[in-house]
Amino acid sequence: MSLSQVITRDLRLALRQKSDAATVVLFFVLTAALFPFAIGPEAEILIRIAPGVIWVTALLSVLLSLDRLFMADYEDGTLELMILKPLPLELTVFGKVVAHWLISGLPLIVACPLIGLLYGLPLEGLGVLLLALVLGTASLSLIGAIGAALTLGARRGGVLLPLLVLPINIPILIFGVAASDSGLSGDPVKGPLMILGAVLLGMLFLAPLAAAAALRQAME
Amino acid sequence: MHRFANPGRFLRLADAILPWVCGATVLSFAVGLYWALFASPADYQQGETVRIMYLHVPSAWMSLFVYIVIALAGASSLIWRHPLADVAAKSAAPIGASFAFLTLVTGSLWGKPMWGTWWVWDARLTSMLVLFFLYLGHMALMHAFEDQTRGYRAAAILALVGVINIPIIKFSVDWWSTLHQPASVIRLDGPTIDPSMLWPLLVMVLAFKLFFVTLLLVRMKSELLAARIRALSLAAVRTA
Amino acid sequence: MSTLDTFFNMGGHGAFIWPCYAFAALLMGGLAINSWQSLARRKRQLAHLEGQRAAIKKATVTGAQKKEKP
Repeated sequence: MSLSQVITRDLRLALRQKSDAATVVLFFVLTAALFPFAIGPEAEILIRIAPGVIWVTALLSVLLSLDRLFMADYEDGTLELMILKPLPLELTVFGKVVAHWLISGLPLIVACPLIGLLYGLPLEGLGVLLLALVLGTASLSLIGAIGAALTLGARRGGVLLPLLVLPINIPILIFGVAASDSGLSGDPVKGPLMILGAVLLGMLFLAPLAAAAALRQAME
Repeated sequence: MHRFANPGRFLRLADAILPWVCGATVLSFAVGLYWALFASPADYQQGETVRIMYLHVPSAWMSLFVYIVIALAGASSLIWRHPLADVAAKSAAPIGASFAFLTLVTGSLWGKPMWGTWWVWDARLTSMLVLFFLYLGHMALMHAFEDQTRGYRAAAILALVGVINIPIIKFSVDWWSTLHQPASVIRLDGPTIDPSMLWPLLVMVLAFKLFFVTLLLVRMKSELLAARIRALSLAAVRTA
Repeated sequence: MSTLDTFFNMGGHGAFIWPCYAFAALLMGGLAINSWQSLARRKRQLAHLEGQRAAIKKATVTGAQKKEKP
């Protein structure tokens, strides 16, 4: 299997079970929509909290679909084949993460303007917010892959995965919101965006390595 | 390194050293605490609250040091399959987590009178908090699998992934403008802290280090005995 | 007495300093006690198990001897 085949296989499987992708987006939109009810409809407050709410909800939504990243392949034996076949396991992992992002991350970003509407976000900041989200959610998927690989087959792995993944995601959250806030207020956005980019580059390199190592020792 | 790979030999060595490190720990705490609380001056700017430093700085340094030990043990386990590395990592993690927690609490209690706030989301504090969560995650992974070996290996990988946090913690006060004070001891130009405070601080650091070694030995012994108990119980079940 | 009071007051910051030391003592002391107790418990368990093993060995040996006799 080549890299593109890995990606298309996962995408095809996901499209067959449309519910997975739909659940993620639905959770994102519904949760983000809940906050105004709890906090009140004051426009100033909503605009102020919008970047934070969007980022946290995006993080949690991506988390939702993470533990299934390797689970299905683990259970039906495909994972063993993946370890043995000529395509390096690291690339296989990368392919699966790309597919995961296309299924979980990209729909969130597409749904984002709708959330922006609900919170009264001005259009000027939206571009930066979306760019930051692209960089951030990609890193989230990569880091999540490490967590998913580490907790494969663990007791109560479902609870363990957030515990492992969320702390490592905190810096991404901080810089993502910083970029989004700066975009809204007109402050320079280069700093936080560059850090988000640097984290993504680092994770592109590190995550497949670590996740592959974790998968190998899971199958020992 | 591999001379100590044999658990039996390690246990005998640990038994021989333990009374001495234990005694040294008690002694250095006695000296350090006396010096910190009684025989050292108050700070020109911070007043008496500087005495919190004698707890906060050693526990901060130790939480980083122990994490590096665990990461090295993890590498040793994954690359060379060193038999004691996993036991060392499992034993060290709760100690490191306690140091990290102590750092956060003492830091908070120091921050309130100094900065007027219990907490601030700057780079140094946030990365310390992430370190604490990394410790918790490491401990959780260790206990999350039926097969203990999987727990060991997974925790080792996590420890190595999290190593990136250590330089972030160390250099955070240099890279970002934070509320937290910049490095005053481990600096290229040498320490800027006054000797009358530096020496009690170093004694306390020594005390914390010895405390770590003592408890590490105790916990490693305990783990090795537990492994022996499991083996004996299995054998008993088989022959019954 | 007043010097002791001054000492405990720590220039008005006593309320922050002493809880630090108390918390450190509790946390580190608690960890130490927990570690030692766990070790002692396992030592006892091990001694018990090895005692059982020795007893079983003795019983099988005497049992084998008895079988050889007649």
